[in-house]
Amino acid sequence: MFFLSEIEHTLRLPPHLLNQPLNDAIKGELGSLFLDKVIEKLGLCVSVYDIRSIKGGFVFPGDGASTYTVSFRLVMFRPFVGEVISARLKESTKDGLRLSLGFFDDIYVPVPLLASPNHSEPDPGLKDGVRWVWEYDGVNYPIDGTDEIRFRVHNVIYPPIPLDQRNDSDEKELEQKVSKPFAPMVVTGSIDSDGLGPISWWV
Amino acid sequence: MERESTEILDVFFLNDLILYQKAFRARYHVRIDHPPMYCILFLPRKGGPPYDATYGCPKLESSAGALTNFEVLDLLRSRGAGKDPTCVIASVSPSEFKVFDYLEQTAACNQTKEIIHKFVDECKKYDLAKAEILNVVNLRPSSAVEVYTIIEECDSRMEEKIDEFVETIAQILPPPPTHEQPGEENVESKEETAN
Repeated sequence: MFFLSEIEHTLRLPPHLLNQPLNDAIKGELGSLFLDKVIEKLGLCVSVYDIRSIKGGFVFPGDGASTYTVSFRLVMFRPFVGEVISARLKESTKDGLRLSLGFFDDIYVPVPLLASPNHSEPDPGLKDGVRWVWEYDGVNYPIDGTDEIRFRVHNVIYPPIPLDQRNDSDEKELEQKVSKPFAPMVVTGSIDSDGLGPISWWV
Repeated sequence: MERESTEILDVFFLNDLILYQKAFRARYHVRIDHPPMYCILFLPRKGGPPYDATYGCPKLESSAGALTNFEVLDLLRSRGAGKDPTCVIASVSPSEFKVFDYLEQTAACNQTKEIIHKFVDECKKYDLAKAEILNVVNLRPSSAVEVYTIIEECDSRMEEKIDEFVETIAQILPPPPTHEQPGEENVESKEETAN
């Protein structure tokens, strides 16, 4: 789930940090720059692991800040395909399930990857919500939010940043775009196998 | 930063003194500069430093190693994540705290380095891939069904050794923390009978 990635970056250290020891100032600056952000193909940055080397320290003309070339390692959250992770149910709609890990919420299980055969029934508790039920051997097993759900990672995509194309005449589209903020990293999971799905099914 | 002697920085807010100073520094290749007192925007010519937010693109080395959940948890604990419930003093940011909360609920919270080394040694005789061992350590499957999901082609590779493998897991790796549900209590009693 977590990987260590080595990155080299040219960092500009603002002048108001010049009184702090160099390592701490650079670590803080790297944290504010990379923490909780998604880097394409590397994943979501969870934490700065350590700093390997700091080179440079030049001050460019017209600028009050010094610029360093820092080589460091970050702890990245990057699930690999085939990994089994346990998460909690966040919402359940007609398109499938959405799971959450606390620090990462964009895990989707689309309908084709749910345990089959299944059917959906409208859930009165959730707004627009739908509850998915797995049928096996004549017994119905519903997927509700009480316990953890295990899923296998099907793939991880990094959709490109959308350009701002707002069409004022189409108000419905506007509402849709506002309700679903852009997700830079989307994990697709599958529950279609033995041992996957809510833990209570298998214990 | 070398500059040709004839180049002068373009200046937005014209002030004669500043203009003269810039010309002087450009002419005599003065490298280190003090920020000007007046609020001026500089637009350096090409060859000057880029003024965008990301200074050059980061060079990457995609994976310098995979980490188990336990290693990340250990790292966050060493920074003081677990000690302070209000997370005011610890040098851990709120997003790191969320990761810490998630990891505390998994099986990683009871593990230690020795346990993991011992488990990896035991796994050598089963001929498992590194990713599979990582999955087992992170998830701690307690029954054969759960092992089937993690290990590909379990039937052909492990055959009768599955039960032995589940035993090994139950003996070496500590169980995940107990939740309030009857499902987890069944796991606990299975663990006791296995021991």
